[in-house]
Amino acid sequence: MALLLVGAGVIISILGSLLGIGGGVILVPFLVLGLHVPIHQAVATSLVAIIATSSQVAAFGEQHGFTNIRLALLLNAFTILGATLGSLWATRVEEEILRDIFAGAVFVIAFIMLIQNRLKQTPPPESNSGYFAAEYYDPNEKRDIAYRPGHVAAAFGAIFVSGAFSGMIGTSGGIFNVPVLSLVSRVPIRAAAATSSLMIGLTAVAGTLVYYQAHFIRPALATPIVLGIMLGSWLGTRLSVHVHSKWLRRLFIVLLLVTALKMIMA
Amino acid sequence: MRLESWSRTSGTCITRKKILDRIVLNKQTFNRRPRIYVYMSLVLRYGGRIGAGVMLIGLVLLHLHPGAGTPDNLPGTMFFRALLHFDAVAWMQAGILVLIATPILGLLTATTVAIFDRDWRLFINGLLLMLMLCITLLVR
Repeated sequence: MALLLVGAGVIISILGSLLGIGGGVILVPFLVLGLHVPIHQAVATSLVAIIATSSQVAAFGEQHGFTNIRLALLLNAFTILGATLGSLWATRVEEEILRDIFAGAVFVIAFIMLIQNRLKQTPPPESNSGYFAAEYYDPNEKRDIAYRPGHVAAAFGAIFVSGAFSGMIGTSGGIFNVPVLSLVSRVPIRAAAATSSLMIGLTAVAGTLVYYQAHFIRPALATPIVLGIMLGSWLGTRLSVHVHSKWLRRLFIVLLLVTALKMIMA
Repeated sequence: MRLESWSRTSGTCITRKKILDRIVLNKQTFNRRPRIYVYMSLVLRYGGRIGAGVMLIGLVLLHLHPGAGTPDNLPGTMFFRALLHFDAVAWMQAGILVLIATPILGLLTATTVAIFDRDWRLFINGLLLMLMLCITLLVR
């Protein structure tokens, strides 16, 4: 059984890396519909897996200076508040309600995935002045990119909602955070992804602490999955360079919609 | 010799010129990084690996003694006793706790470095986040 869970973790994580999404949106339905794990335990397991992968991804972002630490920690105040409230609420509601909310969130995620490539970012103003201003070396463009995030306060609400959903349904929230950082605050996409990966780790910690206290984390279930996901994340980042994910992405959106319907009907 | 081994660890087939290019790029990036990036990156990377290692020990123990251990979370005193007795679930739980602690340690590192850098806004922000996580721990 443990080996099956490790294998599932590897596959889920590779799929997540190829599609550019966190594994939570795949892992939770797999555990609930496939293995009949109660949704609260599935969400708790997903949050532990998010902490594991985000630590590694955030370490990479910081190693290369892509992460905007000041911005991440400011926005984390809102994601942590959202995740705490979301998870506290989730631990007190019936499974059916949580399943319906998960299904609703999956519809939204599928919609974001569908329009993601069509969203155009206004180029950020090149500036290295201001508290949140940052600079990094872009290896693709082979030049320094200096930027100053704008409309930071406008992102607070969306980031809070993202944190709340993370705590409620065990998704990383990266799929909401990156477009918000990129489109609202005009953070370059590479920096937005790295900043988001630092944010989702602390957000998942807030949710996990609540689920841990409510005894929803089962070590024997979480351990093989988390190990598999860490291994899969390592493999997935190497595979994603060689695989074109356009059709895989479309197929996955259909699969997401079917999963959402099954969650509602289950 | 050193260049060849470096290319092997990166997992891609690259030419010597590209290797040299990448070393120059990495040096350019690494030399300019503020220390907060260096320390946070180290804490997150090694915290995650240590957590995974401890969980792996638990998983191996579970295979060596199938059916041993309790299926759920162990409370405080029982947890430490079980850990000393190489209980599989206790080791897996310890790995999970290390993983949970990793981003918190990263935050603690950022807050501490902010003091040395006299970045008081970041310091207050870090303290606020730690306070929020403490409240989360207390709320039931």
